[in-house]
Amino acid sequence: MADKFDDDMLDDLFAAARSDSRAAPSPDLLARVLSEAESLQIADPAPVMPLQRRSLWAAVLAAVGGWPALSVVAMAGMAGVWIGVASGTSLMQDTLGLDIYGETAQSYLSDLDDTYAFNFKAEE
Amino acid sequence: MTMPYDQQEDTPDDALLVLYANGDGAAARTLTLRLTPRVFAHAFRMLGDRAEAEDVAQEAMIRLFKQAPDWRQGEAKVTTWLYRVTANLCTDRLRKAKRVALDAIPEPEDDAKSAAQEMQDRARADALQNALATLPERQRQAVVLRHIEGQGNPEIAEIMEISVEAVESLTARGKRALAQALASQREALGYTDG
Repeated sequence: MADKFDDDMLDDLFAAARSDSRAAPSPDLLARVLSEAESLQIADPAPVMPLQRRSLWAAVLAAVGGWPALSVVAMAGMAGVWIGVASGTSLMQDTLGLDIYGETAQSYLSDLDDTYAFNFKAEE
Repeated sequence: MTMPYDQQEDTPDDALLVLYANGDGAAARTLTLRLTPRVFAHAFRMLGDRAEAEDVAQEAMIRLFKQAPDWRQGEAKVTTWLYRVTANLCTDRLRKAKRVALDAIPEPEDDAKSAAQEMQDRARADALQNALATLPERQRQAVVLRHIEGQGNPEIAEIMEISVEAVESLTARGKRALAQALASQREALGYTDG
C-alpha cells in the first residue's frame, strides 16, 4: 500500500535527519554562546541591596525614632514656650524670669557672684 | 552561590534560568549545553544552512539570557518560548531569501559508519531537507517539531500559537507533501516498494 510505504520511508528519513551530524552545533558555536551568557551575566548582575553609609546625624535620628519622634519633641518644646508666655508672670518666681519679662530692675550675672568680675583695684 | 555543574543535570530549565539570573556560572554552562543543540537543530532544519542556523541559535540564546531576570517560573516552558523565538528568527531570515544551497554545507567527518552507509544517510538527509524546503513554512515547522524533534502536539500548538487540531492538520498535509516531493527519488534513496 502506497501510504504505508510512504509512511515507512518518511519515518526512516526522519530518523536519518535526527542522526544527521550537521544538525549538531559546532564547538565554536557553543563557546560563543557560553561567552555571551557569561558576559551578559557580568553586565547585568542580580540586583543586590547596595551598602549604605549612614552619617552620625542619621544614626542619632534613627536611634530616637526618626523624623516623627523628632517633630513630637519640637512640638512639645513649642507648647512649653507658648504655655510660658501665655501664663504671664504667674509661673515666674525668680528675678531672672521677671527680668526677661521686664517686670523688675535689670539683673546682671556679676551681681550674683563678685568673683566673676575682674578686680582691677587688686591688680593695681 | 554556585551549584556544581554535575548537580544541575536534573534541574529544570526554568530553575536554571533563576540560578543564572542570580549569577550562577554553572547554570550558564548547563543552559548553553542543554538548549543550544536543540535551538541550532531546529534552525538548521528550518533554514537548511549551518551558518545561518548558527546566527539564529546564538541570537535566540542571547534573548533567553537577557530574559532570565524577568522570567516568570511556571508560566511557559523554556523550550516552548525558545522554539517560538527561534521560529520567528528563522521566518525573518526566510523572508530575506538569503538561503544557501545545501550542497555548500561543509560535511563533518563521522568515522563510525562505513563510507557507503555514510553516503546513503547523507543523501537521505539531504533529500529530506530539500523536500522540507518545498513545504510552506508553517507546515515545515510543524513537521520538523513533530517528526524530527519529537515534540507533542499540545506543545507544538503552544509554540505555534494555534490549536492542536490545526497542528494535526498541518503535520498531515506536510507529510503528504513530503511524500509527493520525494516520490521520484524513492529508488535512488534505496527504497523499493514490495
